[in-house]
Amino acid sequence: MKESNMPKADFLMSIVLMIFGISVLINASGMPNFADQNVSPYSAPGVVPTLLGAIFLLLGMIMLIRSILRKGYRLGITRNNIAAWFKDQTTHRFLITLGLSVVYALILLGRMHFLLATGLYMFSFVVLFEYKRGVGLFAQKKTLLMALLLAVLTSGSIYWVFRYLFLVNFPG
Amino acid sequence: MFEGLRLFAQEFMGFMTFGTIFAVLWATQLGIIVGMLPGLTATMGVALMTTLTFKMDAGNAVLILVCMYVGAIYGGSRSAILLNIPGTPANAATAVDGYPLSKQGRAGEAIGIATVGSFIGSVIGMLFLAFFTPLIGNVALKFLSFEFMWLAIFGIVICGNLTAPKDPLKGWIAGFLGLFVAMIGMEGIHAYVRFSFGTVALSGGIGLIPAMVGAFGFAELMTVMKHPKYEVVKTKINRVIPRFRDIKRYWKTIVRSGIVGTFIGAVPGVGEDIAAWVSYDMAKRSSPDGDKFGTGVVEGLIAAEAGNNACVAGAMIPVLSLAIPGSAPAAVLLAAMFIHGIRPGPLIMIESPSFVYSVVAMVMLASTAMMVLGLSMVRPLVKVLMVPRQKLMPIVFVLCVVGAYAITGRIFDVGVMVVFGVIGYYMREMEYPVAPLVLGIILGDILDKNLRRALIISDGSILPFFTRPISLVLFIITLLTILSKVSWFKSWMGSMRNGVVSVFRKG
Repeated sequence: MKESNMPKADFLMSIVLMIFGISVLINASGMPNFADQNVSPYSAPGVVPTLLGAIFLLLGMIMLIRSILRKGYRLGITRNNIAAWFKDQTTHRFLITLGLSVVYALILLGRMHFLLATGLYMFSFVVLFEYKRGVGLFAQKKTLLMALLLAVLTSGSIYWVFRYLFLVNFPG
Repeated sequence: MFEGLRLFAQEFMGFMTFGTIFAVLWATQLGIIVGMLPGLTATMGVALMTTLTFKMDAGNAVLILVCMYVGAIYGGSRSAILLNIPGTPANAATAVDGYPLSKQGRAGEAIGIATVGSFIGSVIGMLFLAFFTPLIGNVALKFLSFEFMWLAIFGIVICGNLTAPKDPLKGWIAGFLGLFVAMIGMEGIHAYVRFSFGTVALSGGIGLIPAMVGAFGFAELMTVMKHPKYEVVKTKINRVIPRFRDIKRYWKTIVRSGIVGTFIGAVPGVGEDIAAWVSYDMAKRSSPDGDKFGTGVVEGLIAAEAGNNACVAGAMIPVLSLAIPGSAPAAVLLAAMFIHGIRPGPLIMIESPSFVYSVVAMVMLASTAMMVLGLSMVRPLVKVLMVPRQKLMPIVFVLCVVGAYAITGRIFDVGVMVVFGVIGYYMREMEYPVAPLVLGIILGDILDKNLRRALIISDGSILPFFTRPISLVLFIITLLTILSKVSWFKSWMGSMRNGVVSVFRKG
């Protein structure tokens, strides 16, 4: 992130932190103190969360004041800025990595066999990062074959090592 | 003292079997490779090895983890020197002078010096580990809930200060968020489930290993993939074994960096990256060639490497004596010890004194293996760095998934890993350090139980927190640590100092 954007990020984060602090305080105040069981009220489960909620609120306020002094409230979110962010190569690379990994870990795993899910993930990861736009699919058959080979070999070996050497029961 | 030496010799000799030495060699070599690869950090390496050593007996498992830890912190220097990309964050300071050296065609020499520097740093750290662990353990025996409460707060504050020197507020926020994460799930006094919002999976709490694998592994992977590709320096690696006179010339820097690295390691949560930077900075200030640092100065390289490897042993001092980790990989090591039924903490010198010296012997073995492997297998290992990251990173992610899943066998933990990965990524983007978050997850339980216990003992009075001698000392140190970063306090201290100086001058 650019240094000039830091006060803006801090401004937003301070608001999030204060809201978070307040919600922790509210949640902690609803926790029982087990007074009816004749125990010390200081052993209540809400003691430390209350303290932490108050600390989040305090730190959030300090950060809010600081970011306002640094003019962080001028967020400057314009259509151009958002469009530039979406066109940036680093954004593409980040979103592809995040998207593929989330689909693999949170959707595919557990719904299909580990070997198949892992193979699919490996193959698509390599292909998406190595695929050259504007070049015919046939001309890139080496990339595809390499990706396939890598997918089969690595998912197979990871499965074998963990399943049979370290006795991990895989999902799916 | 002599009892310590005897126990060390006994434990060391116990490791002298073919099987153990073989395990030391492969684990250290694997550690070096993990450390070399950008995207795979020491924390990730130790977390993955915890999964792999799950079924082994405790002694062997801890030995392998220590070897992985020592190897990975050293291994990161290889990519720092050859790629200008630190393999682990601990080697960032190594790259400053290591990479210019390799551009000058002195890559082999740089690798050799980094190896010997790491070894000597590691040995210095080991000596302190052997000496200080029993001492700190004895002092810690006097700790009650009041002191442990302050220790938890102090850990967060100092870790925030040192890992976010530019903006400690962010370090503290990260630390307190970690403490909050530890509040999720069933608490230890009344078995009341907090912040689970009715989910059964959350009532068990957030596992340390999935959270760490996410915050360090997955977050690192996204950072690595985001940037354009790196280039390897095309340099011939010639002489690797360094000349004795080079090492002798910088002995003061090595010893100083070793001591500094160990002490930084012993500070809760503050790890090898900070140790390397502080050692590097001190070497720069005291060296006559200080202004040339950054252009390929051997002294800078050796300071950074001795510092970060000394930190490894330093980070184990609080692990063994207080059950508080000195660094992120040490936090996993601590978790692994608990998994294997070892209970480090103040009682360790009474319950199993030989274990402390066993860990010292493990560090010795790992350091020796690191030096032998580091100086001998240079050329074949450079090839590992040639693997394109779009082929390597999906493998790293699959390992993150397996690492998060394997210990408990819950898909839920894979979700925790992913969520913490995204949190960790955005924390880096917004310059929040991740280490205090992890430390907070460990210290949360200590804070929660001890604050409430202390309040029950004192019947709600907070006075004992400030009147018991050790508590008072811990409170004053915590307060000064916070105030040292507050601008009005700094300027007030400055004016006080000037006032005192002027009074003396007049006198």
